[in-house]
Amino acid sequence: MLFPTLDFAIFFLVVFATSWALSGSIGGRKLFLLGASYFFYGYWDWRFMLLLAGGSLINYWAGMALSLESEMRRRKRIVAVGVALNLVVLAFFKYYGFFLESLGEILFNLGIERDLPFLEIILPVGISFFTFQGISYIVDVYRRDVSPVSQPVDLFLYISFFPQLVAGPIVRAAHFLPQLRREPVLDAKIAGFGLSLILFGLFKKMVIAHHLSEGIVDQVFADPWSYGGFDLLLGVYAYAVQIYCDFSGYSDIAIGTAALLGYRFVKNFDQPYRATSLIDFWRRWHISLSTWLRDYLFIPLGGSWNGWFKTARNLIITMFLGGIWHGAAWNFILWGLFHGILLMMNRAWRGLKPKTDKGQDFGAGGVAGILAIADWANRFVAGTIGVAITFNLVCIGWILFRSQDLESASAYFAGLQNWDIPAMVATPFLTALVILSLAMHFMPRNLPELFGIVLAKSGMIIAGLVFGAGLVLIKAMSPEGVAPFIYFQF
Amino acid sequence: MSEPDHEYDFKGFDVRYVMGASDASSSHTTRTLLVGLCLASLVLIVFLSHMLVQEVRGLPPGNIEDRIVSYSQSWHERVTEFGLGQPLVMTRETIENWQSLSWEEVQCLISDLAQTGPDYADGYLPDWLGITCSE
Repeated sequence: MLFPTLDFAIFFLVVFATSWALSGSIGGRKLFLLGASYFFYGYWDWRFMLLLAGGSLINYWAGMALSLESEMRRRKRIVAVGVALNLVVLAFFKYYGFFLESLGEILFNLGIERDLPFLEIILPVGISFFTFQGISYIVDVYRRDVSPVSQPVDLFLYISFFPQLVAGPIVRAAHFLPQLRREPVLDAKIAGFGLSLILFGLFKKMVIAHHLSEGIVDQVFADPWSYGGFDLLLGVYAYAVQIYCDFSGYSDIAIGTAALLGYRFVKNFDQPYRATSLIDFWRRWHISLSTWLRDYLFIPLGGSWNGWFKTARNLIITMFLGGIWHGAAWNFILWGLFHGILLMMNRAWRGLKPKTDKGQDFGAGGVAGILAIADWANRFVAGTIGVAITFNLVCIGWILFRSQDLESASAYFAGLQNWDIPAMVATPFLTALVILSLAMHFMPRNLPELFGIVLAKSGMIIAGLVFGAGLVLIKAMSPEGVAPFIYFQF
Repeated sequence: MSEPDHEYDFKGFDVRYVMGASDASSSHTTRTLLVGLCLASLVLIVFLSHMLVQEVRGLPPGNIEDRIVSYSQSWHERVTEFGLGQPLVMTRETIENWQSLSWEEVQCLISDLAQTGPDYADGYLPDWLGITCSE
């Protein structure tokens, strides 16, 4: 069930009305939301529900076992088994085919041909996301950051809650479980904010991402050999905008939907293309994944406390695994390594760069004023150059990420240097769409909140009408059809 | 990697001072929002009636289903008669016009705006695009 469909609209209306009708009984409401979430997931394929329930059961068992055990070595063993079981399931679904294919190729090159046990495996939607949430629960219970759930329904709902189930944000147990124990609240401010975020998310997904994907991105990445420099350059910029609008649009809708049901999720994107460095970019892009990788991988590996070499090693391992998390393909591995190496260089550069105080005090008087203006101009120019360099480096990474394989990625890079072929798909409309979408990164970051305030102040009836009109306008401006969200495949 | 502020906040906006106490309560908000969402659905049924027809055509055959299809078709015809589908058609046409604009047309448009005439239009867009205003 995709968000921008009539099916989901009907489903959500029923869930909204029933869940608030049950708000007097916290337990009943949770059971209802759990049933609704499993229905939502089973709408794709009922067999997925078994996987979801099985995974939740493992995590519940691990949490219970940890709560009963106080001896450190045994606790370590329990957490290791729990995490390993989660990872084995994830690895089987994500990497089985890739592993066998690669093995088959190696054996073939060695002159050995074997019938390998190939299976047609469907990747369950959102498996990475709910696996990560399960791992986060076990590790948090182990670290005693969160107390284990006493009622299984809490954990099952935490892992399966439908707004974030298939593409995040990756919600932390410590953030979500306490919300399940309280009576949910929906005041006008939260309702206005939820409606506003849903509209912003749908606009980003259905209008911007869909136009760019249909108009240019799909063509240039399918056949980079046939296009010239301008098409390919606009194509990768368009993909940068598309993946941002697609993914952050999903997150916005998820956060907005959860808000309307009385739950709060963390922000997942924070104007990533205005980042002035790669380190800054990863603080703004897919925040719930980057903080997950930091807390459950980078820090356990040793973080940045054991000298430059070990920090660099930890960064590269973290980003490599972050890359392979996206899929079993060499381009994702290269994308992860590319970011790991750049982050390492970014850290090294920061260490070498002389530290300057922000907002130096130049004292009073005319000369001091000129110095202050010069200092501001210096920072502005440095910031602008930083944004431009970071954005273009991220785009190089996107070429690796989006290309079908390494051959087409290298054709893409080669094509970027060929400016003899005139533009074929880079139209003024798409160019303007890319420029305006990037410009949106430099608008105030709290636009959805501000619009939410306007909706809240106008009252819920008017807000509903504005919401309906907004949906009509978005539908009118978007291309025909419903494109699945990019991150569903991960 | 230090953690930025991930929470959405509403600094400077306290619902108690903007709205009455009843507006800030959960039950009142949910009731009125439910009415609001039903109105939103009504707006969708009126202005996107063609989508309703498309959706119900996917229903499996059956007496009730056939009746739903026929009701939604006649609803769509009625809505179209009143011209309520026009805003959608006009918006789509505008977007399609923008989409079909070529660089040459943009060049001419800029020259018209600048009132310099087509002869002076070249040079507004970079040479490597190979575009001249032919009018």
